[in-house]
Amino acid sequence: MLFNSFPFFVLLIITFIFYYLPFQFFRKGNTQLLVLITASIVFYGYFKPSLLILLAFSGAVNVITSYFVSYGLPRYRLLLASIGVIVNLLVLAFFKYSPLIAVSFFDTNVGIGAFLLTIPLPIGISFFTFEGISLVVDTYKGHKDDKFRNLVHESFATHIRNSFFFIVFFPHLVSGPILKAHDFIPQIGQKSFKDIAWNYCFRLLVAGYFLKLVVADNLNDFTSSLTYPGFMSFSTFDLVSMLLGYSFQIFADFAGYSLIALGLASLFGYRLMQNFNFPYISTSFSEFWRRWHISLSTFLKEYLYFPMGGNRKGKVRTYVNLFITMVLGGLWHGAAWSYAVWGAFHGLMLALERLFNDRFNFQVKRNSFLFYIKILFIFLAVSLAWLLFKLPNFGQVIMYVKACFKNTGLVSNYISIFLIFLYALPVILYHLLYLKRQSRPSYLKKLEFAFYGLMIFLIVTNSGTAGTFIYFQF
Amino acid sequence: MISRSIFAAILLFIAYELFLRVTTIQWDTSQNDKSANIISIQDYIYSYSRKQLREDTVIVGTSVSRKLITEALGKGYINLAFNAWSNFDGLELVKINGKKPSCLLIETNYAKNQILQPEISKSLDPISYYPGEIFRSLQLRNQPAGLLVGWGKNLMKTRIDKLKEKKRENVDLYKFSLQMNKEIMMLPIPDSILVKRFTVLKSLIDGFKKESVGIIFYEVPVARELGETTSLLQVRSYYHTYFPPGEYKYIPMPVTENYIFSDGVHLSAKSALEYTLYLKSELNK
Repeated sequence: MLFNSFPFFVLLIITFIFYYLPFQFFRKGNTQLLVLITASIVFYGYFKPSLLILLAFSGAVNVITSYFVSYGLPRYRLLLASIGVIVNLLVLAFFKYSPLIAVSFFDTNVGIGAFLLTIPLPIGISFFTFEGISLVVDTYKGHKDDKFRNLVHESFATHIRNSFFFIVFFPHLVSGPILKAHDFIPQIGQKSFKDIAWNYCFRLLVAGYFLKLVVADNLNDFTSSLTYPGFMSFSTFDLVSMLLGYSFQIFADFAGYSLIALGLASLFGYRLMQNFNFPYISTSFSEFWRRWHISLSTFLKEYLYFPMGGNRKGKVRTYVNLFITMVLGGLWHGAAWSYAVWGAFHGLMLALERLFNDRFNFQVKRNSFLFYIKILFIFLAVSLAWLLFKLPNFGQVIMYVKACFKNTGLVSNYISIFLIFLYALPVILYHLLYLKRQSRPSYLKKLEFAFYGLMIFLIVTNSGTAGTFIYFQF
Repeated sequence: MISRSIFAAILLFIAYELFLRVTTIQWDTSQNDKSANIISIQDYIYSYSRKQLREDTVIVGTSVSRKLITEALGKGYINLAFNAWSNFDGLELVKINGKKPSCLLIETNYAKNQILQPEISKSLDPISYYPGEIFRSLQLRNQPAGLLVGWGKNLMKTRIDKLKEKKRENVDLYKFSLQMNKEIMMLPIPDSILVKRFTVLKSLIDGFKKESVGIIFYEVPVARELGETTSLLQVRSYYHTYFPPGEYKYIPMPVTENYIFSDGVHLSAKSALEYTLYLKSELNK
């Protein structure tokens, strides 16, 4: 189900009513969780109920291994945790990377190659398997670190309910934010209608739907022409505008989704982690990754970079760890080598940046000219790398870059360029206002209601042709 | 905060709706090919009553027919040709909408995939249809950004036309586009696919014929280099097999030597007018 579809709104209203019905509080146990689990199952299985089988299998593996990691024999803890992680990774590899393995190593017309190509990609698999890994690993850490203690309830039935809810809770199920067990499970409990933070929910939902429906969906109508061989006949100006438009679109699409997810979760009394924090004002790649898809970057940091040694094993090993983490992070996005190249690009930039910072103590004064040049440079470099998302064939990426240099004499489509700028403008202003937050005039705060009113008006009158969310494919 | 924001949104909406009702804007407010298609769908479903359509001719086809200067055909012609879609979509829209025209003018250049575009079913979905019928602000042609662009296009019409002309005069670009189209059109379409598509088309068109809707086929000229490409010949032959010229009316192809194309497939504005006038003279025969 899509957050921007009519059936979803019906499901949301019904779930909300049942969730907060007064009789809930007189019943034994937490029926609120059962309401949310049921709604999540309907949400996930709406288009293809067979997908629920995999979700149930994945959930069962994580519930069982995490329970026995906590309450089983201590000498088997590490073994059980490892089995849990490996099964999650195998499920992910089988469903997500089979086509890549097929085209890379087998003849896709016959035998195993042909079979691997037929394996479908279940929606949200990258997200719920990572959350499963988090549950198993956090439970294992519970024996060493207080932060991770009490994640697993001693009653197996309660543990099933809590863990399954953690994995399937619909706001984050198919596109994140990727939850960590130690952040979410302690929040599980009875929620009351009077505790809803209405203003917080309203802000998130309006901003989220605005970014998705008005900004991303409209930009999509222009950037969708960025395909081979169509782009070969566009002028340099058109090509650059479309790429920058795509950069704003991917932000609006994913940040919009995340804001909606946060707002929806908050309606039911749960706080999810912030996934985006004005990423396009970053002055370095490391800052960009602290601001972009924060739930993924912190997951990779906690569950991959740190276990590999992080920065504790010398400088060279730090650079290598950064590079490997980003390549794997790139592959997490999709089963194509171009995603690995995208990750490698970011890994290389992070390693080089670290090397540079290790050698020179180069500080740039905030709001200086160089500060803005750095923002622009990072934005352009990140945007250029998005090409690997838009054109998953690496050869086409090269052709695009060549066309940018070759097509300087062609006539541009100024109407499209103007519209790309117009639809990207809210994202630009959103970032600029944050950058200037200290010198922001006080009347802007007073006019906040008017901005939200304008956003609602534009959601109603100027939404683009509705499409799925870009991150659904991951 | 919440109530004030909602109140501001309602005020804006009412003001905008009033503005649309007191003004009669005739600009082209489409923002891209897709929005141009949806505007055509919405104009069709909201603007024509059953009674009016009985006198009208509906043109269905692809982007090559969208270039026709419909106004030059005279009153009573509605162009339901869609960018990147096919004549199937236009025919389906006419069928689902339940308003039968007097005649259907069907382009035969392509036999594209026959899966109804979601934009058509969505426009006819009661959840989208009725609010759009009541409030003009909810129709795509009246989007604020579209109005802004329409105003700009209207203001700079001469300059935009000049730019289009300049783009068309770029010989290298023309050759590239022609080559690209030739490569695509030289690929044969498997007979199994064509049989499937034409079976659907046959039942759809014969359904209209049974209801006394006139059927006329026409082929928009393409550049000489593309005229004999494999897929074009295949499609032409299938049309003649499924809709034999003895039973169905076909407009003969005009002499194409003087036509100018933007990419080998789409007529330039001047040639589009020339062909439209030719079409008109043939229809009046």
